[in-house]
Amino acid sequence: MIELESVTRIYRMGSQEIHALDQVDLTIDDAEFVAVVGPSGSGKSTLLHVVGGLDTPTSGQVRVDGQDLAKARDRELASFRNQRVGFVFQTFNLQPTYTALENVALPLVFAKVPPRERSERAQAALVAVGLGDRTRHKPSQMSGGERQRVAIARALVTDPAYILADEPTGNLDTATSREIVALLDRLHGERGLTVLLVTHDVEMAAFAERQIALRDGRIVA
Amino acid sequence: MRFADYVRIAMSNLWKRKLRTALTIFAVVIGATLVGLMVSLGVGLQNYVTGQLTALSVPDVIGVEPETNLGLASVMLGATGLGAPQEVEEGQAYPYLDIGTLTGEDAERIRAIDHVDAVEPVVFVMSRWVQLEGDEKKYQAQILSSPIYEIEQRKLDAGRAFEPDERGVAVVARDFLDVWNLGSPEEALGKTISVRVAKGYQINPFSSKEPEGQDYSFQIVGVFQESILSTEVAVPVEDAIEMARYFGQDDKAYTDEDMGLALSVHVDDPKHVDAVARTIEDLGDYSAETPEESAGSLSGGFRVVQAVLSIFGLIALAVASLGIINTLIMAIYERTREIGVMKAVGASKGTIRLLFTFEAGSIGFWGGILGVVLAWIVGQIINFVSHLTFLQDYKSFNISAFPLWLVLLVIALSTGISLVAGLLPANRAAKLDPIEALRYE
Repeated sequence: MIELESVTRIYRMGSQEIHALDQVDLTIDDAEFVAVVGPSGSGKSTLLHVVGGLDTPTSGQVRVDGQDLAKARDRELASFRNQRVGFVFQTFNLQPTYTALENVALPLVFAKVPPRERSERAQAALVAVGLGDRTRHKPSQMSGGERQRVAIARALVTDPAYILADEPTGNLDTATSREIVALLDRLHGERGLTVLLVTHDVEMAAFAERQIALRDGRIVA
Repeated sequence: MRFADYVRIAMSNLWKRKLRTALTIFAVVIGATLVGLMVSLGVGLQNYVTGQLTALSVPDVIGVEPETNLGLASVMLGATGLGAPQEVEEGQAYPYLDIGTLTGEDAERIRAIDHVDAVEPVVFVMSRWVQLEGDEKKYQAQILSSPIYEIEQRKLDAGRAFEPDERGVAVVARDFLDVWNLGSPEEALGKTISVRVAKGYQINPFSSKEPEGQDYSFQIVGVFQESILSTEVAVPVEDAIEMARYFGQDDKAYTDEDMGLALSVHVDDPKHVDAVARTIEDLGDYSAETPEESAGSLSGGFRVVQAVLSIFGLIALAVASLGIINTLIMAIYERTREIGVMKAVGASKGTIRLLFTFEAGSIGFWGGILGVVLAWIVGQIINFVSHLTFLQDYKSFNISAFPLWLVLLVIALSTGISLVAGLLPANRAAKLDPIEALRYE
């Protein structure tokens, strides 16, 4: 369960203060599929980063399964990102020199998993996203949709409870976008994953069970 | 992250930028090679000299000299005409040569110390030449007065040491055999040599006229093992004194009135050497040097020489470390996004820091290994060339020596310096904000 209590995140841009998140209260139950919508600059990504332990709030409390992320140390946050959540980005963020299998196995390297087990689990994750036959390919040899599937496999490989997807379809055409969100939806259904999908695409948001609308760092709906 | 993964990722990152990595490592190699080679030359030289001295030194003999208050500086000043005017008395030696002599009284005081077996003067005599009977040619020779307790402990290739009260016998350096065309050391035994001593300090360097002199005959009873004392002719102390008196035209030389510049003190057991030396120095008028001290002061000197020689290599390593910093900072810019991804999927600051530290360390490690190999090769070339040329007669002496500790030292040093150089970039990489890093184009 994700609980946010009056979470505020302020950035400084020169002398200007930007309230990326402003007194946000939010609860997301286990195994929910939630879409976060809103115009750019509304604080969607910041919300995702704060929930995923990549960013810490200026004030307020962020609790994920009871763990207070606002007070966690760097090492605890790193372990949290490794074990509890999986990030999916708009630009895929794959290592161009690694094969699909190596990209997917990367989180397991930080989890101190032995090499053989890493390969097995990465292979299984690639099978789960429908890329069981593309393991030796490098990102440059794959289509955009395939690359995003590799990124999703990487997010899945440590068996996290939460998938945090930040505009995962932003760089894809409509048909592929549907496939990717459908894949997330399927994983949510099959594995009981909690999915947080940041998007400004109304069609993609429609896959979710619940929609949260953000504007100027506040939840408006 | 597991240790093997740090190594694997560091290597693969370095491998991706082969040219840049090669150039960075090359700078380290130069430093490591210089350090390795310089220290190896120092070690080689030290091995040789201490080896020779150990072979020559006798563990239960202490060298004693009068404690003179004339330092090297005042000697130099006196000789060059600088310094304050000094009063001179008739019959007094030149002030800058006045290093003091010992007397029979001194010898008695030392002989009275517990565990002192014998005290003999160290006789100074200069010979004009040595000549083998039946041979036309004359050769320079260093005449050394050798008490029996000393020569007994020297290593001989053939023959024997002197007997008590034996006169007119000599043990000669191995190197004479070549010039005398003697095939084996045994052939030299029983042969007669004559040693020419000039009368008085009368040799005029500007005259080609041979000064008046006297020949002394000796029968060869032994041949030394090869050593740095390559023109040594050891004779009994009494014979040396006789020659010295003729040479100095001074019948009182090496009597109780004048025991010369130094004494050789024989201790009954090597384990008492330190205690006896301290007792002698406590008498207040003497400085005493044990065999260990003379070897020790020498290795100390060599350590200084090695350190000074290594400075060039250390400077090169320091410059190379700037290259490492530069390379890694470049790498951070290139891999900013990758660092962001690593953090997003579970790398802590410490992990990122260690990863870059490993890259820096790897550069130093490989640079050190290549440097050692290169230094070893250059050292072998120097040894080979020197054996063909100026060290023809000392084939057992390697100028460049590579003990295991030196190999490890060079690798550890270049790795260590590289690790220090890696601290700054590694910290920078660790502190990157993952969100900024993921946005970085």
